[in-house]
Amino acid sequence: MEAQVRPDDDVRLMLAFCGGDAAAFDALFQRWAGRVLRYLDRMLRDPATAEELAQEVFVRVFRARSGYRPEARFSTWLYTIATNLARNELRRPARRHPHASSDDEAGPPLAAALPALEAELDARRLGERLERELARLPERQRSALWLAAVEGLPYAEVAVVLETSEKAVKALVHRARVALAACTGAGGGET
Amino acid sequence: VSEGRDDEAVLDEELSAFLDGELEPARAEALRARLARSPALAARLAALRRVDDGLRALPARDVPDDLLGRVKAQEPRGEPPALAVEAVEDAQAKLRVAEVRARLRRARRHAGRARRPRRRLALAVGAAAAAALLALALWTAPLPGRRGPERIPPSARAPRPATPDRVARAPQPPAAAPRRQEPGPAAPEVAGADPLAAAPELGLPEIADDELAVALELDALEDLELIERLDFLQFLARQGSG
Repeated sequence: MEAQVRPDDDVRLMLAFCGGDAAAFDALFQRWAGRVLRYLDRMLRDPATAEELAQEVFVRVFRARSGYRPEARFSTWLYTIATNLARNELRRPARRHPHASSDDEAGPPLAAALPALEAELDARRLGERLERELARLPERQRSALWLAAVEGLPYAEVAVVLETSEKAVKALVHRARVALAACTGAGGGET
Repeated sequence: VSEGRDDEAVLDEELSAFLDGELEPARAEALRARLARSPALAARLAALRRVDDGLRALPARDVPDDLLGRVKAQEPRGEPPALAVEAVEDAQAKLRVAEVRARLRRARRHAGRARRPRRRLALAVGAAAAAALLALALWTAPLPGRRGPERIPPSARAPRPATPDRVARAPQPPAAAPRRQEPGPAAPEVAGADPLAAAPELGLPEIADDELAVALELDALEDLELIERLDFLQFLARQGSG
């Protein structure tokens, strides 16, 4: 069955790149490099490795010009590459990193046990706490929450990236969000 | 959203999906109503929203200036062979057509919503016309002792009144195209029906891809009315030539 072609400005740019327009690749890089780097930063919490993997993501995009087929949204394809690279990195035995867990059924988030923050927490402290608790989340929860809540991907797209169902994405996002809400001291946790 | 459920335990997942715009419209509406009644639930939603706001506000570093150069330097053999021009053009054409078809689908949905009341009226008129025709047929049917109407040879018949297909073939601006919901006595197979919906059932080809591409080039498809008229005129023209 022929793959469905979807309307997508980024797909258009990628096709232009495939057709020999080198500036189209630069445009794609400008549009997406920041978001990919930010995603990998949060997934790995290791700036040097995140940068290395962001570079690898775009090397793969660059090399795909000889075989690219627009079978999904560009963002889905891009985040799938980034997620797979991050996952491989996180599972490397020799790696020491704060995100060893890939178990979606991990026990209650540590955030739930943390004391509630004061209401007057400034944005910086709240951000630091959120970042720390985000790093403690199981890998797939972290990825699902970031892609859905920050990058604004629909659940269907996140499901493709994570190779799971929309229902599972809904549950992953929910668990992650509730765990982080608990750490802000504002409630929203599961009871 | 069941009223009997406990706010604290059950609705978290729905609240989360609601924040992401992933809740079905009916459920979202029910949840909005419940949020309006329950300050506790509204507070929980605010807590979850605060997480999103906090995540989005996390500092993001700049992309290193040399990263793009490093990416390009990773390709040791220079630029890889690009896709064949034909393959790229084919993919681009499919993309254009996919875009136009998506817009047409939206236009048809829009038209369907906007004209539903008129469609109901058209159906009512059509039903009345059918009843009248049935009564006429019963009255004119040959019964024992009663002669039926005289058969008139086709060559002797009076010219047919203008039908939508003939109207469509006559030179006139698109604005003069007949509205598809208006029942026309001379074209009962079209009257009251949605020709856009009927076209595939009749085995008629949809608008050709190259025609869509031309319309896209002209940027004419922004006008939803025009889309409908183009589509409708094409349908009628094909009816007339078929």
